[in-house]
Amino acid sequence: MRFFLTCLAADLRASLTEPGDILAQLGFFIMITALFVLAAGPESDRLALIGLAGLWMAALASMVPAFERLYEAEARSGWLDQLLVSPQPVWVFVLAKAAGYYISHAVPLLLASPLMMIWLTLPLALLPVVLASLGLGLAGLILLGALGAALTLGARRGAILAAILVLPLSVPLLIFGVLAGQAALSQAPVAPHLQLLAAAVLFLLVLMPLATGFALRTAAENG
Amino acid sequence: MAGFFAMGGYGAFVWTGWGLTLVFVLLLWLHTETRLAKLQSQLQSQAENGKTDAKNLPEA
Amino acid sequence: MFDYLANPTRFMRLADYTVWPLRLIAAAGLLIGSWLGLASSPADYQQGDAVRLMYVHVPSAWLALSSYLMLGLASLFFIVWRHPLADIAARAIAPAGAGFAFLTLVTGALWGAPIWGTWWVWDGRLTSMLVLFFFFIGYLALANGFDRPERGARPAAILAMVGVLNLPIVKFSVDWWNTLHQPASILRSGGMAIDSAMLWPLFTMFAGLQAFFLLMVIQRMRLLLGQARLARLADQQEAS
Repeated sequence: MRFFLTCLAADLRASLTEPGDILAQLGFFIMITALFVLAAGPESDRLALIGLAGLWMAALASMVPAFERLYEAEARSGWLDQLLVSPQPVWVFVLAKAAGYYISHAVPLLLASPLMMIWLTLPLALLPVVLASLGLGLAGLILLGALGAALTLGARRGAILAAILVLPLSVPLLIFGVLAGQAALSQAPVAPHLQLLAAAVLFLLVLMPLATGFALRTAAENG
Repeated sequence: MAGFFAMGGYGAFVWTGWGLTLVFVLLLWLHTETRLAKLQSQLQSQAENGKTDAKNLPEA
Repeated sequence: MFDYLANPTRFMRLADYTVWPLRLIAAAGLLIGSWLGLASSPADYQQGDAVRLMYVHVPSAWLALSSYLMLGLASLFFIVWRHPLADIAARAIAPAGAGFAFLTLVTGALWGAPIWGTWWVWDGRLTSMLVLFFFFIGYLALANGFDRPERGARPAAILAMVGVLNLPIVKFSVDWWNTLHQPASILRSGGMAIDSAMLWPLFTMFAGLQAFFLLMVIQRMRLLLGQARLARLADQQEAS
């Protein structure tokens, strides 16, 4: 537990003292949403229907490209190699990195979502459902990204490769998340979709840190 | 005979589908077997001469 | 048994015996199956001659799916038991599997367009076949994405195992989506009743394509092992 908090604190310190990355990602999210609205036609009735899809796609598009650099600092400084020979469990480090990434990168997106919803002509009454579904979905995505980043550590074209690996895996998250919002729009039960989404995230929470730890060990052993 | 190619009006679909399948099979078969044959002759000559043509190693 | 087969030399020798039988079954299956499928078997009373696409589509789908599972299994062997031939097997399976996944998608679309009036529909089966194809591409990209080829073996194996777990989840999620969006009811999982006259071309093509697939995997494994051997010999020679 202590180790988890140490890693988390270090990660947050690193990312929050250099907010450039976070702001750039947030800017990207906002810009993609804006362009989506323009492409769909701002006055169109269709916009509310597909607005949810646009919101999710913008979130995915802004999160996925940055996964490649998740372990960059630790790998370059040699800290990762140290960790792998230490008695500390690697999966705790992975969980801490994922949590740190969530706090520094996903939360800003969630905070910006009310404005995005207004642009996409989504009724603000949906805000709780959108925050819940997007909040869970981004958690799952980041867990997948943790694995993707570990698998592509040291690869050529790591960013696009990590994206290619993560996106097919994230299809269930996307589907359950959008369905939750659509259910809210049509006054249908939201709970089943959120429950499935939560189940998926829980599954990833258990599996991804372990698989990622294994992948990191592989990456370090083979250089 | 014309009926065979027309496939009851579905000719374009049936022949494209079957064509792609058979072309894929043929090309993969030829590609793999010829590469393997070439490799085996290289290994053979290596065993005979004790020399390997290091510049002409086959690619996967 | 697996320890016995793990020895590359022994494997190569045993594989030699399978090559000619597989070649014969593949050739015979494909030739006879093509004749039966395209010429000798009857047209369907509902679908006409378009049903002939079933004889390439269904075996392709089976091969795409089974090769994907084989890839996962080989990857498991590689990661857990460090079976030396497992990685070679996985690398041999992936390209052929990707090809059959692609063929499944294309022949399925060609079959669907005239019969069901649509080139594509996002139901559970089609979407998960598409995701399966993406996975093969991702696997190949990862396995070959490093400067040193061996470096990609274990990440790719991890990806393959995660992918096998993910595919049923993807299919479920898309089916879940579809129960709420009321798609066309034409694509029921029951499908069509198959006339016994159609079983022969189907079975023959199945046998031919399956034998072809196994042949390609074995030949490619021999190719990869031989290349490694040749490279080692060249290195030794350069050193001496």
